Amino acid sequence: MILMEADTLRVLAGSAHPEAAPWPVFDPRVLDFLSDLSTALRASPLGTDAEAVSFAFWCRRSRLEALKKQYEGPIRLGRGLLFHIPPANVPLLFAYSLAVGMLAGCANLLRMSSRLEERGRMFCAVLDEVLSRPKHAALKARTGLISYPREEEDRTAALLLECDGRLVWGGDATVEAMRRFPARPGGVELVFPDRWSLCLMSEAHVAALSASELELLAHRFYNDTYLMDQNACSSPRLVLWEQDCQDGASARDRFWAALCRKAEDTYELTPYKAARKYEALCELAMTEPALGPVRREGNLLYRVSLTAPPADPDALHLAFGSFLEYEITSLGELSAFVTRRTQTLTCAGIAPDEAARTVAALGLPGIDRAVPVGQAMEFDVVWDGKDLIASLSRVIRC
Amino acid sequence: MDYDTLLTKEPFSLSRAEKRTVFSDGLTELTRYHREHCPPYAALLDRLGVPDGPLAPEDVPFLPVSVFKDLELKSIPDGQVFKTITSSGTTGQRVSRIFLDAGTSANQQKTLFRITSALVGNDRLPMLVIDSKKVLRDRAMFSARGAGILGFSIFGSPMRYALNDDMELDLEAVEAFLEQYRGRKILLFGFTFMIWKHFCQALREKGITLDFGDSVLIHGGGWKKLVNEAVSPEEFNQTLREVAGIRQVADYYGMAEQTGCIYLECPQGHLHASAYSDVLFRRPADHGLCTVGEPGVIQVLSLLPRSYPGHSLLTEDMGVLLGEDDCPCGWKGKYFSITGRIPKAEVRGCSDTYGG
Repeated sequence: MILMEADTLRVLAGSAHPEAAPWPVFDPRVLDFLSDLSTALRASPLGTDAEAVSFAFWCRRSRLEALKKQYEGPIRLGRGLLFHIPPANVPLLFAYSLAVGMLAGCANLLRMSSRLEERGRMFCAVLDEVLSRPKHAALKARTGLISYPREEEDRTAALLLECDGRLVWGGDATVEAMRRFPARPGGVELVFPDRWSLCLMSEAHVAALSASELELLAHRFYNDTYLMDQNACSSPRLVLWEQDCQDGASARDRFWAALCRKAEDTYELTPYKAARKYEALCELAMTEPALGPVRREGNLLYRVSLTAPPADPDALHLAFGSFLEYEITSLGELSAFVTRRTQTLTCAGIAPDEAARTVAALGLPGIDRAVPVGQAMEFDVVWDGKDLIASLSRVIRC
Repeated sequence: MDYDTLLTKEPFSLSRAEKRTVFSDGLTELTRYHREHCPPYAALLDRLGVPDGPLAPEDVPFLPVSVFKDLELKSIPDGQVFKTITSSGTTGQRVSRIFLDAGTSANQQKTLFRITSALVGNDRLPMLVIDSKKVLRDRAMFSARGAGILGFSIFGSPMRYALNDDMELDLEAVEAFLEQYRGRKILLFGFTFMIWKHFCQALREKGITLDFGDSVLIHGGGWKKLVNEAVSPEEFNQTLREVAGIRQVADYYGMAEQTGCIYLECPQGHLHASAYSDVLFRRPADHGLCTVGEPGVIQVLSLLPRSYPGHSLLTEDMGVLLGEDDCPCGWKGKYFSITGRIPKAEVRGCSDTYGG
């Protein structure tokens, strides 16, 4: 039994003590619920919020039905109760984490950050309303979004021993902190440590784009980067340019100018972000040997050229609209930039599947996904190279 | 003009045109010096495309003050390090390390003396430190507070401490000090928050009123901690007058990364740049210069730092330029006010969750 001081525990949605009985993966009750949630979100005040709408779109029924087909065949059942530690500063990631747990047939307990932003709280309210409808009573009994002070480590420890698995988002520090808590002997652990990402662009492709196509590419690239303060694992910080046209320099300038226009219109560079951005630039410029000239458009866009592959690609910490760039002549040069911490490769003018095959052929330690520019933030049930549905469920062989 | 010659100038005597010439030459020379002697600094300037020619003061590249927390930057061989100043600052646990040789260290003392003498004169005064002597003994507490007390100790003879080891007001010691030096000009020194909490409030609670007579109190360390208690500078000064009869109160702005070059508050309540250092205010969006009255990020320029590349620093503070050379107090140079630290804003990103 978990001992709880009722005063510090807050239940944001569902139940504080979820029932742990396994359900089949893609259970119709879960699909019904997520479909209702999708509809309710669109009708709620969050219906105008881009990220909430993305989530609603992600869990619409037709999409989930298509996803379900990928797991047909063996009998799959959820592992039991999952404990989720979602990050505070990736809006609504907790919603995806919860949806994946549900689709995998698990019961779910989410420890929400006390710094949950306004949008997150509104989301919880909609979630609780839909869960509280009589037809979703069975799901409500196995779902809980709770919040309590992180200092209450005894509570975390006790909760984790009740759970059959944990999903730890939030990078190295959180993973390390959570690993100090023991798990059930048979418990599964999915952790998401610090990662970084890169972008692969063809100079010829950019040179050939019409003005409107260029704006669209800049818009998509912006969504992968600035929209998340270029701080998400999947936000590219390095752009590798495939040198495949006569005047590569003009193509590159053309792209960055378009991105700069987009950022000028949309990005809110607060004094704090500007300070951190300039600090990171200076520290890199003072420590990284393989750096060439830096070009700055005010403080909105920093372009930092590399003169050679860096000694330690993981150490290139830049954010808030600072990009390293380097020209390559073949995809084989990827190996000098990829470590086991490299997560996403976004592509423009190069087919993602071709890039993925190259990664495999080169036997690279990193890159878990190759997607077109604009989809870096798109959540997938295969994340960091792990099939979350498969990992969170068990197969009954017969 | 070398720094020793500059120091012979009165601290608030240089007008705009004169100062611009001195600073263009001095900063150009210092920038070149540090470029030659500090390889990481040279790498930064090369990459930012800073030319190796004469620089106007506003074109001198600036280091974010926070880089001293992550990198060891010096323009002297290790063997010449005479002293290392550390400062915790407010950005978490990271500590700034500033490397001084004998020359830079001595110039810091001289500069502090020259600037502060504008307010207290050239003679040593009986000095009461509103802090505990423990601050100097305890290595863990040493750093900004201890260094500040030691720095200002050149004005005090003798020096007494108003707080005991438990940070409680040692009323007996204070009254004995007052008795002994009645009729003489008295200097008081301390950190803004400590003075408010352990001196003003303690006297109020005890219902005691003191009279320090001809006295000047110099305090620094910032208003951040007092913002929560909603104490304005006016209320702070008024309270000191009421509970201790302190005639003149002067705030100062300074930082470990440019120790010595403090910005002293004039009798009009304005912080002033002295002849030895200068301030610029920059727009966060593009680091362009602000106009008079427009709040911006404070850049501090000083001709003092020679052992480390700290002659041009972008701080984490925001302030407003109020004017130059025309403050009613008569001091020349820029005068300004601090509006606070750059507000910490929520940043997106994957790698943090357990923090809340």
